[in-house]
Amino acid sequence: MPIKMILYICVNMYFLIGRGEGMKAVVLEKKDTMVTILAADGSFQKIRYRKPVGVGSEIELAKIHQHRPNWRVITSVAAILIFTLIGSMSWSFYQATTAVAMISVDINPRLQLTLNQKGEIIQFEALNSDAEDVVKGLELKGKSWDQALENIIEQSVTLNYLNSDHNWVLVGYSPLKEGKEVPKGVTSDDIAQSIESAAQAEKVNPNFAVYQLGADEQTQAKKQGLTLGEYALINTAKNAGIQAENSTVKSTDERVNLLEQPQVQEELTKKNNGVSIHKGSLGEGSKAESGIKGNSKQIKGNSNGIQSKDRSKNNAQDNKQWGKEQRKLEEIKDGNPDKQGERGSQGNQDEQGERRSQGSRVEQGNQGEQGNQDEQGNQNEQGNQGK
Amino acid sequence: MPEWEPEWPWQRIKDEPSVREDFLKESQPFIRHVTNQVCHRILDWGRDEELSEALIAFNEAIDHYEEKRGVPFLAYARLLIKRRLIDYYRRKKLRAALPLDQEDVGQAVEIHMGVQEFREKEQNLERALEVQEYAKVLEEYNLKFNDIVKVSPKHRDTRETLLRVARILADDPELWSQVERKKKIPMQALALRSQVHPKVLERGRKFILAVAVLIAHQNDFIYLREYVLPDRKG
Repeated sequence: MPIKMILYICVNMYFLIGRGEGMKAVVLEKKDTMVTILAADGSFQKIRYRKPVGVGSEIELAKIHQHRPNWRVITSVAAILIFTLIGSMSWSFYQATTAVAMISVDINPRLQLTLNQKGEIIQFEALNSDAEDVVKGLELKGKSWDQALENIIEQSVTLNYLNSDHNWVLVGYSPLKEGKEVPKGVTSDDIAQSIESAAQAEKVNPNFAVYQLGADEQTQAKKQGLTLGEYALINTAKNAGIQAENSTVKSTDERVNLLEQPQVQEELTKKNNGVSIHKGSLGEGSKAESGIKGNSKQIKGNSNGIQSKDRSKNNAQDNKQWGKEQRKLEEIKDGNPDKQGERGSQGNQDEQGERRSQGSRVEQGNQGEQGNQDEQGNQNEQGNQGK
Repeated sequence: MPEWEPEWPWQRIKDEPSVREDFLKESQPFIRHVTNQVCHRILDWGRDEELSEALIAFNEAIDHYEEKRGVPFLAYARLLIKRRLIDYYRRKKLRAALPLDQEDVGQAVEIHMGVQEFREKEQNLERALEVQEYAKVLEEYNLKFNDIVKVSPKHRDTRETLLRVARILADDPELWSQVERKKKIPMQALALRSQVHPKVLERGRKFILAVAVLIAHQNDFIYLREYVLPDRKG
């Protein structure tokens, strides 16, 4: 854009000063490069003229020599040009250097990325030694956030921080200032997609939760020394009725434990204020079901595709059962709107499907492998309501 | 004396004898002026042969002149007259009595010269001579080119006003004779004539004078005066 502008101004300058027929003038006196002339408009002038001329020669004057005000035009145009240049440059500089949003990533490596308005990484913090390992080989600065995220996932897999045993990715993002927008294209969906594609490329299938936070929450998180994701997780845990300490969420194992708590799961899936949760190789249904059963250990290590395939056969019944459970749950929830109000979840008292669709996206990792008609039906129904 | 060259109907002057006759009659002062200058003495029609030679040269100039060349006719005619006269003196073997510079004689070998030959080089030479003459005349008024540059009006409106005033001054025989006598502009009279405020005139005094000199000596400054005539703006 600025280049276009500069071009336009140059063209204008050309028309203002450069063009136009020259005026004839006769040389009256000559001294070095200074010649006294009588111009065709009747003016006597002394000008610098480099070409060799003798007294009595007729010379052609460029328009520039005709009027003094033309210099003023030149200067003003030049000034405008400079101002616009400075303006556009400083604007792009401002855009490029001003932090507007943050993204946190917790796998075991804890990372926080700071983004500018263009969605590029301008700063990153490695919050533990694992994170340092991860970022060591990466040139994150200047990269777009999605690329950076993919790189981090790839690197985590390579360094074996993200594998079938450690298969949770906790992501949080927020604007830095109240009222400011996060860069265009930074949404829960996009982040989820970015992680998913990176994970697929690396042939892993992690679970991940993406939180959207506000600027005030970001400040709070910072105060408590937590990443965005951790801070949000604590809140979720609280809402699920589980007391979680700061230290709990910082420790990877405990955090994963917490994430797999059925209550937390439930809270995550029902929440509609910007969390997007993705369950790796496990179907949502099976997870919820097993969560209800309180069998959280079962979930662990179940990111293996074959295992889950085996499981999915068994899940047919489970799902039906889960469906019932779910409905029961909804009835209970509907009857108890206070709990939602306290979450500040827009006080939505509609059906759960509706609620879920507004804020959170529930993704299913291996739909194909699951191949469960019943469950898919269930899923689609929810999805359709959402759209 | 015709004032603006471009207004002369060249085709008619060339084709119709009566129009040409009128033009020649009109141009007599110019021819005489040039001849006087070349011979360095005052000549009279009917008495001096030089004038008839000059008239023949002027007539030839009409024949050969091409309007489209962009050469001022009078400049061309003047050169032809000069050459013709030099040749005339040479033929008469009056070289001893020749009032011309040796340089001029050496230069002028050929009196017949088409307009196409009257190219940049000759024109530049002619102009240079005019500039020299102009500087000389200005000196009489205690003016130098440098002074005029300093007072030359920068604004177009002012310049046009002063150019107009200068023309009024040069074209008015009474005012101009006063200027020539006293070497000063009669400010009061000029202010009355031109309806321009005396303050403006006073400020542009040198400029008016310099321009008026060019216009008043129109037979001498054929090239230079074109730059100050409003109708011929480039």
